[in-house]
Amino acid sequence: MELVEVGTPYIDRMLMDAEIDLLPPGTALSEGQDVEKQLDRCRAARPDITVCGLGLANPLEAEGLSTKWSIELVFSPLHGYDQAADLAELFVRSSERRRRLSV
Amino acid sequence: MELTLWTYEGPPHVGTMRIATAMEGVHYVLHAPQGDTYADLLFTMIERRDRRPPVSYTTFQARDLGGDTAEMVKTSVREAYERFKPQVMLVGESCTAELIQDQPGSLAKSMNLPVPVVSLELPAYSKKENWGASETLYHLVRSLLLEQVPPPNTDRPERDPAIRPKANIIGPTALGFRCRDDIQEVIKLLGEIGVDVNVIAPLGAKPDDLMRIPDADFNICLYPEIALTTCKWLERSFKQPTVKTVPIGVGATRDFLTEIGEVAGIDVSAALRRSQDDTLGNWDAARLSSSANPGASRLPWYSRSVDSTYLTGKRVFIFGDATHAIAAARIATEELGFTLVGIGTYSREFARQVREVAKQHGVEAVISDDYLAVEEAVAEAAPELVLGTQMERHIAKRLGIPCAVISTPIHVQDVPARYSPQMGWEGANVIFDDWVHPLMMGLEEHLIGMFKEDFEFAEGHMSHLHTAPHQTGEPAAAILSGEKETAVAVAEPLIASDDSKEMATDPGDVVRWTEDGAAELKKIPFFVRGKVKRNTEQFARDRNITSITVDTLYEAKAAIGQ
Repeated sequence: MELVEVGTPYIDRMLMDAEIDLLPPGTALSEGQDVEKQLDRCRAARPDITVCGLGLANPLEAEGLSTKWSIELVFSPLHGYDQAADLAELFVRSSERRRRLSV
Repeated sequence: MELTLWTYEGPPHVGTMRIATAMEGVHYVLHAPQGDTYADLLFTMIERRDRRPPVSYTTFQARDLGGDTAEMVKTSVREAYERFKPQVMLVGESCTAELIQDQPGSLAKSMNLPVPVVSLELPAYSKKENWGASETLYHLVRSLLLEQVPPPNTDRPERDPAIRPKANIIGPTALGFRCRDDIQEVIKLLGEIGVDVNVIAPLGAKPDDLMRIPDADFNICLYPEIALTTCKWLERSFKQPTVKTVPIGVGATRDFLTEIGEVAGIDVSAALRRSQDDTLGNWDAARLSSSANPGASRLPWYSRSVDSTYLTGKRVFIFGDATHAIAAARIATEELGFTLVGIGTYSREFARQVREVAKQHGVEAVISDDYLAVEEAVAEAAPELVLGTQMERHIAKRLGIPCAVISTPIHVQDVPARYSPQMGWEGANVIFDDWVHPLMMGLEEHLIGMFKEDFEFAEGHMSHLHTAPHQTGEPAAAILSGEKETAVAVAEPLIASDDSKEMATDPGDVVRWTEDGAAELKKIPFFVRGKVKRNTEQFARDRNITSITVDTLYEAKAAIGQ
C-alpha cells in the first residue's frame, strides 16, 4: 500500500514522533484542519481509499472515491499481530462492496 | 450548562447550519475551534447528502488563542467567498468561540464583500438549535427584504380575482422531519384548491427566491419552530397574513384548507367535501387505472374498519418538537381513538401550547430536554405505544413498548428511501401505517391471551414484529428459601424499580413473591406489570406482609384501585 497523505487535527510530537518515524520516507504529513484544501489534494491524488471521518465519507463516495470510516479503526479491536487480518479486512471491505454492487 | 450523554437539540449554530444547508447560494462561516466541525456528519450521514454542508470553520486551536484569532476569521471569510462565490454570507460563532469575543459578524461586514453579509449573534449558552434556525431565517429574510418594506400603514393591494392566489411555504429545513416529502404534499393540497406556490424557503431556495417572498398573497407557516418569527415579521412588514394550521392529520389538513379559504378568499368546499365523501374503499377499474391525486386519505375509513376496533383506548405517550407532538395528540385521540396518557416537548418556546393540549386530556405536560426525565415519565405513564423522537425509540425499546418516530431528532432510518410525508392526505396514510403496525393486532392479542400458558408462547412475547423485552440482568423480585415457596424470578421488563436499589442497601427489606403470586403477576400485560409489581410490593411492605400471594396481589389491586 502506498500512503498518499497522513493528516490529523493535532500532532503531539512527544507522543507521536516515534510513530511518525515509521511512516515511509516522503509521506506527506498534514496537521490542522483546512478541510477544503485537504479535499483539493485528495481529489487531485484520487487515492484508492480515503480513511476519513463520517462527515466526509458520503461526499467523497458521491465523487467516486472509496472511503473507510476512521472511527472503525478506533472502535475495532485490531491492535497487535493477532488482529492484523481484521485490520486488512477492514481496508478491503469498501472496495469489495464496490466490486459486488452493480446498481 | 450541564454535561449530558445526549441532547434533543444542538447549539444554535447547528440551527444556522440547517438553514444554510437547506438553501443554495448561501455560505456560512463559523468561528469555531477544531472539534466543532462534528456537525457536518449530521447532514452527510443522517440525510445522506452527497456534499458537505456549505460551512467553513475557522478551526482555531488552543495555541492560536494567544495570537490573532480575529485575523483567522477574516482569512476564512475571504477564502470562503473566493472558493464558493455565494450570493449571501452568514457569519457566526460556536459556543466556544463566543467566549473569545472576536465578533466575527462585524469583522466580516467590515470587509466590504460584494455580497450581503448577515451577522448572527446567537447566544449559545441559553438558546438551542431550533431557535438558532428560526433566528437565522428571520435575519436572512429581513436583511434581504428590508429595502422592499413599504412605509408603515401601507395597505396591501387587493388581489385581482382573475389571478390565482399565491402562497409562500415557509419553514422546511435540512434535518427536519420528512420536510422533503411534506413539501410535495402541501403543493398537492394547494393545487386542489387553486393556489399557486410562490416561494418555498428555506429548503431548496436561493437568496433571489427570498427576494420574491413579498409577491405572495399569504405565508404558510409550515413548521412554527422555524418559521413563526419570520412569518410574523412578514405579516407586520408586508401585510401578508399567516396560515398557522399545520396540516398533519386528516382533521388538521381539512382545517388547513379551511384557513387558506378564509385567508385567500377562495371557495375550498369542493376539496373538503371530497375528503369527507371518498373513503377510497372502492377499488373499481377507473380508480385503479387513474393517476389522479385522490384528494382524500384512507385513514378515516381504515380507522373505522372493524379490524381497528382493538385500537380503541390504546394508551399513548407523545414526546417531540411542539409541532409534531401537538399534531400527534390530535390524530391519536380524534382519528385513531387512542387515549393520551402523556405528552411533552423539548421545545421550550412552545411549552404553553403543549401544556394546553395536555390539559385538555387531563395529563401534565413534560417540558424537558432531559431524556432521563422523559424516560421516567414514560415508565410512570405505562403506555402501550410511544410516539417520539429517536431517543423515545431507545427508551421504548428498553421498556419493551412499541414505538413510532414522529419528530426530530432523527436517525438515518427516519430519512426513508420511499415517499413518506407526514402532511396532507398521503401523510395521514403514512401515519396510520407507521403508528399502527408496531402494535400487536387485536386478534393476535386475543390469541396470545388465550394460548399464553402454552410453551411456545414465551414469556414477554409481543408480536412477530418485535423481539421479546429483554429479561437478562433484570432484578429478581426475591430469592426464596422456604420449602413451599420456591425460588421465583419475576421478569421485570420496566426499568429497575426503586425498591431493587433498596433491596441492595437494606437486606432486611426483602419482598417475597410466592410461586402462584409470581405466576399471576406474569399474566398482567407487560406494559403495566412493572407498575403493578412496584405497587404491590409497596402495599405488602406497608402492611408488613413478607410474601406476596395471588390474594395479596388482588388485595393490593383493590386497595390501589387500578
